[in-house]
Amino acid sequence: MMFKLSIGKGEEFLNQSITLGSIVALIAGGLSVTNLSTSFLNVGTNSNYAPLVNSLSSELTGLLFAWVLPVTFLLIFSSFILGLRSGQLTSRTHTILRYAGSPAGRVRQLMTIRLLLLSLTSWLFGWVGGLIVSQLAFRFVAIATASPYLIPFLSPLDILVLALMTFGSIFAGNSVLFLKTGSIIKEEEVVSL
Amino acid sequence: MVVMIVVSVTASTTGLLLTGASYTVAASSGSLPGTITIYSYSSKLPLTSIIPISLSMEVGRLPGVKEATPEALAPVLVDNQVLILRGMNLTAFAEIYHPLFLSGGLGNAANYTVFLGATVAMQLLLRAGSPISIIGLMSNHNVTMTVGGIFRTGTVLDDEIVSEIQTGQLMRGLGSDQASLVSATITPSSFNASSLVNLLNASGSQTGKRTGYIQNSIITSGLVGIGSYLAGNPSEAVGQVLSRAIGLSQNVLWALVAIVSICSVLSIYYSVSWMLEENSGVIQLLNSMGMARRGILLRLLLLTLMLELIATSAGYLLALLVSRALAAQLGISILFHSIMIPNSPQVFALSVGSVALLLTVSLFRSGTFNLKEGNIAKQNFDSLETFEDTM
Amino acid sequence: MYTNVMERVWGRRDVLLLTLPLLLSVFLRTYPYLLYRAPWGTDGWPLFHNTISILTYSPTRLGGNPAFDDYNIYWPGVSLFGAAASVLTGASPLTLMPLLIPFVASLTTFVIFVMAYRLTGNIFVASASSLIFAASSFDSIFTASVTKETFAYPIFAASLLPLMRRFNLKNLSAFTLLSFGVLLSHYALAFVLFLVALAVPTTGLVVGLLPGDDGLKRLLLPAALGLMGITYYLLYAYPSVLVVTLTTSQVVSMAGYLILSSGILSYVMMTKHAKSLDLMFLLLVVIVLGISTRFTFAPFAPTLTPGIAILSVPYIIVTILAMSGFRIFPRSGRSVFMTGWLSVPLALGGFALFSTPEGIGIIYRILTFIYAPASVLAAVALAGPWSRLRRWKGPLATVVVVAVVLASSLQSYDSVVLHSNLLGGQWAYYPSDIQSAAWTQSHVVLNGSLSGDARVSYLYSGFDGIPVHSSAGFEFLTGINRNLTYPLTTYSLMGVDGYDLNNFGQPLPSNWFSLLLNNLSLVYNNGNDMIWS
Repeated sequence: MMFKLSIGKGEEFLNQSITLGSIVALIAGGLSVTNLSTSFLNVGTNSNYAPLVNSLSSELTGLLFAWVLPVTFLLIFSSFILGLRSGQLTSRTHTILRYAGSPAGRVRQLMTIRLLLLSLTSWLFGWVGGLIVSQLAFRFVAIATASPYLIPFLSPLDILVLALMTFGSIFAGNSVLFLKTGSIIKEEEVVSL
Repeated sequence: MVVMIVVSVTASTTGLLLTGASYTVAASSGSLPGTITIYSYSSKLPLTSIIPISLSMEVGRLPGVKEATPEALAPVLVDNQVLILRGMNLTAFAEIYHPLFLSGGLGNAANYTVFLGATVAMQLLLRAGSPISIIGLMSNHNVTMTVGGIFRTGTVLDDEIVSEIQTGQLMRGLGSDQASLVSATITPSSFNASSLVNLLNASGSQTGKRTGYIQNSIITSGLVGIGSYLAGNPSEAVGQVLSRAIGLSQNVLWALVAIVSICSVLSIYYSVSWMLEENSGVIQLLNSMGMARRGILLRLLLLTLMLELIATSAGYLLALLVSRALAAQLGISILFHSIMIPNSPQVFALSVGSVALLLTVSLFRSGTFNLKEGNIAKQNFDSLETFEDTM
Repeated sequence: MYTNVMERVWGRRDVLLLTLPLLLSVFLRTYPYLLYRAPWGTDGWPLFHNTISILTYSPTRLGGNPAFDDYNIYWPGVSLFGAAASVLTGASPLTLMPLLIPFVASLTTFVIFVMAYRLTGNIFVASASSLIFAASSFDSIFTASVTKETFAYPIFAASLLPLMRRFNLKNLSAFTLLSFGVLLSHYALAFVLFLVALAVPTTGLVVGLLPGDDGLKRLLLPAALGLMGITYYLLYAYPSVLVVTLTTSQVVSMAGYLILSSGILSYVMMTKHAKSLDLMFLLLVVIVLGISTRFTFAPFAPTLTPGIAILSVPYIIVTILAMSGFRIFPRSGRSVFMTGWLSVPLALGGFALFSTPEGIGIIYRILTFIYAPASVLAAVALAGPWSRLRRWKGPLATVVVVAVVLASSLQSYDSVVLHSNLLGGQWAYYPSDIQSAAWTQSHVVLNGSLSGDARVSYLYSGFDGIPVHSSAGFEFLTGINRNLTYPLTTYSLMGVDGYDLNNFGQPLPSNWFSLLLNNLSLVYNNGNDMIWS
């Protein structure tokens, strides 16, 4: 019951997950391609070339990092917009619950559960979609350009980093709404007293 | 509007970073406008090319060629940092690149003397007169030299170490009769590409077809395979250099920018449908007052496209600032050269175009237009009368 | 609607509907051996060797014993079964197993029949699905040979039955017993079974079609298999040379494909929306097939001939029907089972194709796992509403089934009789091959080696223990290297299928035989096999 209350309208929740997931997929795709490039550079080099290879790897990593920053900002901002929208949709439910006697903590709990579920689904859609699309794209491009078959990949550490980014961004994006909901609840408590 | 700005920043940053990386790769040869670079056809980049040094003298004798100088490019390790050492005739260096010396000068040129670009000097915290230990990564030679001066040219050479060509050959592991490339400054009015074509066809190993007539403009603005050489201006032939270096055409890079835009579409779509839902009352009112569906649609489209143009322009400018700031702060480099982020009209056009397209599609697909054509007003009045009767 | 097979009152028609697929299955899997009087397929030779060694040296240690190989003996199910059957019947493993093991594999058809009946309660669906599966070429050709998978597959299929039912101790015991049989026979099948057993309750819990406590309890089944697998590996099988190993990144990729395929199938199952997904999947399959006729789509994959691409038409028809059948399938615990059963091999297929360079060795075996649930769903589609063609449903469905079965069965003929290269045509062995191997063993010097292709290598090396160098022979025959260090074994099928490297024959120059005649001395010739020195 709590899950159903947290999620609200299923289609809306799914749309939001896919929206945020597509941005996470971008980051995941970028990470997987960079892993491929750095691993490609690290194969079969002798010690003379090690500094050269390390330097090229760190160039790629630096470029990726510079790109990930604005995309992360997009993720935070999108989750803010989506949070405002879902706040609009769920405020009625929250108000009814409050008037029906639910404690304020329960409402915050519902919000937290929703954000956790949203972060989880966005993260799942994101890294799965990003990884698989990049692998498919690389295969088709390799065939089209007669290049070697290289396979982009993500390590478990990348998955963890993506999880932290996604959860962090979504919670950050919804923090304003969270605080706003808290202050409304307080206002209602004052009025009811 | 804010969503459009943010999406535009993301798409534009992607495009600018990708184009910046492409330009930096191509510019790493050091070619300036009005110069031609000649290097080996079989190499992916000028950096990895090997050609006979005698070619530079033959090219220098061609009509219309002001100066032709051989250069030996070598990746070297200095203070655990990989840099490019460019060995070339120092007189030619002064004539072609017009360096501004911040300290020291070419007068200090001697054996075991090198000159540092300003960026390199700042990274290594070296000044004129300091000793510098250099390890050639492709030759395993280890030499200690003296910094003869620190210069600024406003080109990729600011990220490099410049020395006499013999030092470059030593660090690269080349023989005294070999170089990486030949750089030729031409006088466009008197230069004839055919003479270069005949020379390159005749020299080197006969690996392939003999090239026929080529226009001057093709050599000065692109790259052409002539015999066993590539001749042209790599800085002007970004797509060709990229294709040779990593096997990807520029079209693929533009496709990547488009993909980033498309992945952001859902944010735009969401915002548009939310905006329409918020204003559905106003839209319904206009419709019931007699405004045709098509009229409402066009007005909304016009309004959003106007906002979109402003937003994406602002987004592009912001992206340009952000990319350059990030590049400077994070020290992003490509092939050991600081990344150059040029102003790219193509990125701007793609950003504006893709967001506009996504907006238009979102507007039409949002499904808020359950609006009726025709005599809506009468119908509504009818229903009001019925309501009153019921009351 | 859903009734137990054992509870049904069987009429003559029902018996026919059950017997027909079984007969077809048994025939397609046993006729290659009956035709050639020699074991069909390459992978069986080390297994025959292990079985004979078990009979010779028992009682003895299995793993780490030089009498056995260092791979198959760690998954000894088929060898133990063969040895026991040989003792019971008095027949030698080499004559008994090539008939018995494919016969056992044909029982998978019976299990598919039972599963389909259990899922739908419709005997026509059960019969059609088992007919379609029995005739599938990639299963019938492969399971006509003695392999670990051939033996393990019916046990694997039977292990799926407890997954269809509510959790109770009886089901748990049955699953544990059966899955141990799978584990003992083939590690890869045990892994697939583990994934399916995990996917079913997980999907059910996420979509909410399985009651909470039942769904959670069902997780005990994969837990039991996982525990058994780890224990088995740590206690016994750890020295085994595993053919397929995974890096951590590949595990991540595999998890991604599993999540994607379960997610999409669950979404379609719950909402019945997004028909565009069906079209996209079909488009992807057609594009991959089309590209494969011009380029190698995956590392080490062959370029398909247009003829082979056309042979895939019956399977594309089954795919289209299966997609339709999946949408018709009512939303229930049974649809959760179908989702789990189908999503795992689809995910593994995607992983094999796009995510690993060694995928080609996995992909042609994964097709069997995809085809089993697909055949059930295709039969469901054929028994479906057919709103506009209701009057013609029966005859049309029969025509479709017969067409698919015939077309698929003909591919077995193409492989077994016509020796089609990309359909495993070089898997045909003759008694003369066994004779030449025996002759070589008695005449070759101690520690001596031979050159020969993979077909020669499996027999000579896998059964008789003679080392065979595959690349040396290929380099000699194609002119890459005219120095031949070891005697070269050739056979008549090389004139049809070429030199067998990496699962299929590589073309040889037209003058390869005259090259041998002009440059080497013929040491042995039995009319089929020749040894050159």
